[in-house]
Amino acid sequence: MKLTTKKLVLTGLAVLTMAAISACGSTKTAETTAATEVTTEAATTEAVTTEAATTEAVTTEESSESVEETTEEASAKESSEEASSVEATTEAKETTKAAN
Amino acid sequence: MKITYVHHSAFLADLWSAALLFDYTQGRLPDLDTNKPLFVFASHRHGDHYSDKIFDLGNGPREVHYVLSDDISRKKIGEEQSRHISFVKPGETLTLTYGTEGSLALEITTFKSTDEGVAFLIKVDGTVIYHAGDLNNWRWEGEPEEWNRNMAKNYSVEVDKLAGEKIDAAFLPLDPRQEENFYLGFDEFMRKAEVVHAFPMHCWDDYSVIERLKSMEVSIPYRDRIAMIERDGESFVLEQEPQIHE
Repeated sequence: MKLTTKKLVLTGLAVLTMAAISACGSTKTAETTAATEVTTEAATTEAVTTEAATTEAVTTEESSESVEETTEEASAKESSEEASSVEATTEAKETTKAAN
Repeated sequence: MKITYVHHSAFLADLWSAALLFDYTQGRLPDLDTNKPLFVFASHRHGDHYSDKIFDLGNGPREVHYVLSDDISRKKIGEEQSRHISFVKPGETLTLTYGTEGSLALEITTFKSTDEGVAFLIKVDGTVIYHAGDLNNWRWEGEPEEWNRNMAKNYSVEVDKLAGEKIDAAFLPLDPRQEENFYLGFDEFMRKAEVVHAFPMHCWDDYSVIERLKSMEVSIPYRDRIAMIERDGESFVLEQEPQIHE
């Protein structure tokens, strides 16, 4: 990988310098566009992690094949009457953090 | 179990009760039994591992569920699609039950990538499958040695969690762009986990790296377990109880 520095001008207000780090070295190939897009989105900080922590459990008896999701964070579960046939259980264990 | 190499890091595992598709972005998929659910995995947001094309797979009669790394943006995902998606972070265990009255289970454990997103360990139908995503020892000549050392350490931390784990099929990066360092991550994984069948990936269409690794002395303990991939669409039928060759 090569550490690349990109300068972006957002809405004419300021010049931002963003360091795009991709350890797998994919920034120089066709996927650079995708990485750039996501880098911009990440700057706006969507509340993704919060949503992920409140994993819903959806139960259906309509489909002959229902996939059930189970999570240890049961207090955050939401129930739904929708006909989604996927249900899952998530156990949030420790999250390892890379020193880099 | 039948494994199909689709393209780059995309593989399809066709098992008894379900089919698993990993990191699909392009390429032809084999015909699948529509009575079996399809679980679609995406390890991280990079364009060579994730494409929203995967949501087209949910338009047919087959039941499809998506397991996506949490770093993939939700902004372009519709509400209807979201009902069929589980987002996962590193260090989580997700159990999906399916089949008649939830009699079948697919267990997913995630690991922290040394690049982006996660790697997957999946247990289903008595089979264990590992897809590294971009979890690899990304050592690059030209990078500061401290960076490379840190990379190696972080990789080892994750791989050590799988030490001694019997894995029936492991999809592991083998990237020719790393030059002399191309085999490091693959080699370490093969030495620590008990991999029955190893499938190189992330080769950027340069499959000569597979033979190159097999010709190296370091691969003596495991070279017979490395699948020779030569083109997109190649399939491999794995025995039910394969033996590990020392």
